[in-house]
Amino acid sequence: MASQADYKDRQFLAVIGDEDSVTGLLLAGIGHVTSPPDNQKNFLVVDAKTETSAIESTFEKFTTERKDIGIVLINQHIADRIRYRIDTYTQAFPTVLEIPSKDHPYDPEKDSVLRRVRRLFGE
Amino acid sequence: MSTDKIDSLLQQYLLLLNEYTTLRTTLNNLQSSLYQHLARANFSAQPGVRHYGQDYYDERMQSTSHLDITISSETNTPEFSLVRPPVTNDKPSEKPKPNDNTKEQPQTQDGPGSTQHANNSNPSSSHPPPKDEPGDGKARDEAESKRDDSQPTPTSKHKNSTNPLHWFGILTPLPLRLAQADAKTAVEDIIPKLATLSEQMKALEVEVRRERKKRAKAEKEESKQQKDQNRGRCGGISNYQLKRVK
Repeated sequence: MASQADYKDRQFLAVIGDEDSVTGLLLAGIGHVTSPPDNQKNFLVVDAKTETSAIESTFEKFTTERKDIGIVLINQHIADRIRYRIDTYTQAFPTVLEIPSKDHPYDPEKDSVLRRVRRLFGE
Repeated sequence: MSTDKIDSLLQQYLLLLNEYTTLRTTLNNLQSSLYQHLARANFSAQPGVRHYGQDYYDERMQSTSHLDITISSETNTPEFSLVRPPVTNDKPSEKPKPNDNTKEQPQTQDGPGSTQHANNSNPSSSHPPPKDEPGDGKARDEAESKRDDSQPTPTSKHKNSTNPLHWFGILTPLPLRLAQADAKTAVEDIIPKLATLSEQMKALEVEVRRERKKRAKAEKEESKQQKDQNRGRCGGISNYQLKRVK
């Protein structure tokens, strides 16, 4: 099981999403920019021009490099673009949750948790 | 035995799944309400505002709430909760004190008007203006202007630094505030619970798979033993038949 060192410093939520999703969640006060030399943000605004490699590297950064993030929220349609990374992600921390976006409603068929459920029941 | 255990584990799992789907529905409703409010805010935005979005984010933003992760002793899985640190009102209340001290020194020289100001220097009892006071008008005006200058600064600074709504201006539209309320509910109540449930389900999945493996192993051994027994019986008959033939 995870040791205390794995989770005690994880105090932020991170968001990868479209502009409205990120704006909404930042309004709740979860946005954080680290002190000047790094200036690392805990969010990424994805638009039509954002490349998949940028999303993937940010996901990688949030899940493996940064040790202060406890939950990663990602829009489902963006998670679809890096589905192979999401499905093979097995770490205990941070937890990855898919959230709906304005233009793409939540699809249970694509949700990684419900996919795990289907796998467990042998479908 | 193992089948019963698997059944009970699956029962627990389905209960968690039910909770998960219910929370998902709630989150969906909250998110759609949030997007509607944001769209309304953008629609009714003032002429200067193009779009309530990343152009207005504060580049020095600091998180106002922190995740608290604890490992449950019962299930041995992480439990997430969002903690909003208590707002420290000490700093703003402490700041005016030095000003009060500086004001009190000339007050003793000025007379009755100044004592009135000393009483009003407390931020909570500030606003009612002195009506039936015969003191000097100029001194009173100065005192009032000082008070107006000194009082709002600490509170407004404090609010600006914490509330992300102020990135978009002081007088933000109502839909934007409603969007913030929806986002707060989603982030504080729903998302930590969903994360906790996801982890609990993950742990149960591992346990169910382990039990299934155990059961499969036990079934294999059972079938092997049965085969051996059958072979033994067949072997016994054939020996007996061979003896009789001899």
